[in-house]
Amino acid sequence: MSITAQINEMLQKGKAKDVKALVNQALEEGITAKEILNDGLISGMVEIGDKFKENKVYVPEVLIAARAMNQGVAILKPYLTKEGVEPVGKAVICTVKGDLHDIGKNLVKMMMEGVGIECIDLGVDADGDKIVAAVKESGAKVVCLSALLTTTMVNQGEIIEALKAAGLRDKVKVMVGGAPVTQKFADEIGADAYTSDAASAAEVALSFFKN
Amino acid sequence: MKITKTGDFYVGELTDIKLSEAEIKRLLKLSNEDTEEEILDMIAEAEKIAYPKALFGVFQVESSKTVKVHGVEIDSPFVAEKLKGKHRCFPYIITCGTELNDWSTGYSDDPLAEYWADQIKIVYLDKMFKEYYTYVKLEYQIEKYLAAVNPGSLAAWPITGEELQFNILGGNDFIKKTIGVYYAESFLMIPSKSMSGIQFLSEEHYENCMYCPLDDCPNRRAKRIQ
Repeated sequence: MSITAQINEMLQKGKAKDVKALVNQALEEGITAKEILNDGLISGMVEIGDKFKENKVYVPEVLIAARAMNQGVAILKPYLTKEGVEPVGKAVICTVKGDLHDIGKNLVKMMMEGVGIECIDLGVDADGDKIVAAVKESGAKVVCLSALLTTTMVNQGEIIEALKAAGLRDKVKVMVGGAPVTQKFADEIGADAYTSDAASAAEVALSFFKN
Repeated sequence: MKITKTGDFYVGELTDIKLSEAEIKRLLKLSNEDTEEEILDMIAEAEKIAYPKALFGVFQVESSKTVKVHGVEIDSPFVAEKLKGKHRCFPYIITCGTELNDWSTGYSDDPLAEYWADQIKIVYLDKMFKEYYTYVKLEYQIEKYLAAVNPGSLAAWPITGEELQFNILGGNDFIKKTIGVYYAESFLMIPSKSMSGIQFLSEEHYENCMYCPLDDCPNRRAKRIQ
């Protein structure tokens, strides 16, 4: 088994210590950071995402794997910079104003980072002004809005209006999600995409960067 | 559970609560061998500070043209229908407590630890609810079903129903002062690991789940009525 395949396997098992050791070993063997990232860490995270979608693994397994990935990425970071490897793209992500639930949002963030997207995480209770400022500052092309309450999902629509008012609406793709959110609601508020789970959110976000 | 009376209401408190072996085992399933120690440390921290609480009342249901509980008119047709003609009801708010809630914010930078903290809070919330439920059943000699309606669990009584729920139990300020729970502008209860509802005696088994369209919900307690 190649060392990147071993990294993939250990990441899926959430073995952070092994992932770190294997990443260091791979670097010592002269494998590029880009290859380690794509064929070891990202491919492992994509597989975990697929298993999550198929209900073969659950939230804790994803979070444990994501932590292992982050520790691997932390080792690779200076090498990636040296190699000039850029993230696939940037996304602003948050739970909307009035809502304090962030586990679902974190899961989406982890999955998106797992496919190579850089996430600017605005945390919870984020309003339109904060999101507009973050998009302007980062140049993010995707905005992901999470809401867990029927009373706060309407704020996803208000944020889309704030992006319009700031002249940014045609520069970003807006994705929405959260327990009470539906495709119908996403269409009503003019979002570009609705996804029902974190792995699908990462896939859709990736497609926005690739097209 | 220690029970004290505050005006028309009862306050239930749990202190020095050790988690059972089964509860710890269940929490450990959320980790792997590399992270097991970390979650055990968090459980130990939580055990030192956990102080879950309950606020509840035992009130007559006044059914005439309108349905009233503790002087508050039930403005939800769904809830009014459920309570109408019942002799008494038990409105309640249960919380994992501000202590655990504050503790968990210390883990907000680490999504995995934050998730564990959330699950630990849920264990304490469940513990408090079970204590409260057992107390009510025994104290008021309830032999049949103790059913409940809960704000936010059905479209027929959405989360905005917290206002009514809180009004029955003395209002947002009083409840915050008494057990640390309040509802925000979005009607989200804070601490978020809190639950609220109105229990009532029922001749038949009733669960909100019977009217909920989420067929695959892992917490489903009864078959959906089509």
